[in-house]
Amino acid sequence: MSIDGSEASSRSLEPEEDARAENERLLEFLYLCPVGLARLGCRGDVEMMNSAGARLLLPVAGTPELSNLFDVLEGHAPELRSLTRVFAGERGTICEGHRIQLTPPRPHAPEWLSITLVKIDESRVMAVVADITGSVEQERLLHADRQRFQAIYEGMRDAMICTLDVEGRVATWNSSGERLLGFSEESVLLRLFATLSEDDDAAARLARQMARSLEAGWSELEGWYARRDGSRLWGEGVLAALRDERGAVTGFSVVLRDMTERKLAAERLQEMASRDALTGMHNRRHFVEHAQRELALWRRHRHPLTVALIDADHFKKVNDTHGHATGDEVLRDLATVVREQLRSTDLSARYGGEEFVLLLPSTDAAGAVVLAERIRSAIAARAVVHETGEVSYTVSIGVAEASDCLGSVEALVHAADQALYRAKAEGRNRVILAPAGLTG
Amino acid sequence: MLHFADVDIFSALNASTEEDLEAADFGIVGMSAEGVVEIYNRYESALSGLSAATVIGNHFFTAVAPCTNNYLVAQRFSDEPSLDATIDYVFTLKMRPTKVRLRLLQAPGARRAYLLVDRVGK
Repeated sequence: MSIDGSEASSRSLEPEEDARAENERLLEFLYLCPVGLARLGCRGDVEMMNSAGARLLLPVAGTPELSNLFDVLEGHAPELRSLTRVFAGERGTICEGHRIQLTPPRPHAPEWLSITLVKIDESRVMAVVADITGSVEQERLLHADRQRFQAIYEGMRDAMICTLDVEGRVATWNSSGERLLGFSEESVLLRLFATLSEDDDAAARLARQMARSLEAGWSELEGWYARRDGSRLWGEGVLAALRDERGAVTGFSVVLRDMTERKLAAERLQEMASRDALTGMHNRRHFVEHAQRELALWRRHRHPLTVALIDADHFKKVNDTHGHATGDEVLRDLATVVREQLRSTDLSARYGGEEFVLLLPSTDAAGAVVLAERIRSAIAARAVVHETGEVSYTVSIGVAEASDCLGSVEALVHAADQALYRAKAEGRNRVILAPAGLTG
Repeated sequence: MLHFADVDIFSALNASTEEDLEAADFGIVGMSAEGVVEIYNRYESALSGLSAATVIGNHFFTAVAPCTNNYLVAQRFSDEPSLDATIDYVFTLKMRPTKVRLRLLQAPGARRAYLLVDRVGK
């Protein structure tokens, strides 16, 4: 029923009719344009304006008067007039997206307008007017949220909050993390969160915790973290999955508390409880716990694992001849030599009276014998100085490697003990390896 | 002959023939209760540059004259079932801001609402 412009042209009407139809189409286009458009004189006189311009500006004007844009907005944005007057260029953008708040707000009328003014030449300025009330309101809400969160972050003393993307990279970071770990936002953004951890298996652990969070919503975090200044922090907290409104996972939130003091205190207590007072070595209980863990690993991975029992030869005679103080000196000396010879992954403990035990992960029987031999010869070559002179001593060592027959702490220690017994029987000051498969 | 300021314009409009409407010396827009344009007379067409054929069948406040889609005009039609108000306004006729007087007419139960447009100082 309407005369469609393109249809009209295809019927090749008279040129005059064609132009009239085109003109109408352009007029309609401008009437319906949802953004206000205007052409102004250099003093703000409105020469042309489309419907949206009038719709937005008439409620502002208060009176039905739109002959000058600067007059209309005088009460809200007097700067537009001076911005245009002092604009030095022959042409160009005078202002872009300049925000104007219309106060007091009227119902059903925009509260915020944005105005863009572009100077075309000495006598013409194009203006774009848009209602940005909705986006300003959204910004305001976002800003309020940000301020609220900022207040929370600022208020946090011993804790931090950050978020990770789905791959575990730091997605957002704030002052709480900066204060707790010392890293600025720029230095950690996009870094894998696991790299902030000091734990060797941090990446694998975080992956497991992320998987658990996806399943259950959250999981517990704990571990050692490295501060920027090199110090360590024991963090405990929660890793929670973040989802968007459709339920798709967008990342994770991390809340971490600094529990370093408590952790260190607990470790000191445990350390004291696990040490032998005389030699400073771990005690038997600590050895057993540790050996059980290592054997569990051995059952899974089958990396070689050996145990060595060391016993000071004729210790009773040393005590009887030189006194208990010298006996204690000998034990301390033995502990010193053992500590010097061991690698960082090895564990040594005082097993009983003058008996020491070594737990040697990733070490097979041959390697353990070499190590034991080094300890034996080092001890045989030295003397302990005491009040009235010097005393030399020797040790006997029994070695046993974990195997299918020797798959428990008891069996392993028992086999090493049997070998030690043989070393004593064969004349002391020697290393004996328990035969593989010996079950006692 | 129809007169913009006629006190009883509503019944005069309802009684008018198409020729009467076309002969009027002010703009007449007749709308259904939903705001769809049914009448767009020759005078209004000349003011806006839009032909009746283009406009009729479209929603007036959103698809023909968005400049009236604010609390000064459209809101009054939706808020006041019984309405006869004359207001000063500015239409951007052919993109030239033009002072006009608008007469907003609406009555409960009436088949049409009317917006009359008179150029100021013609």
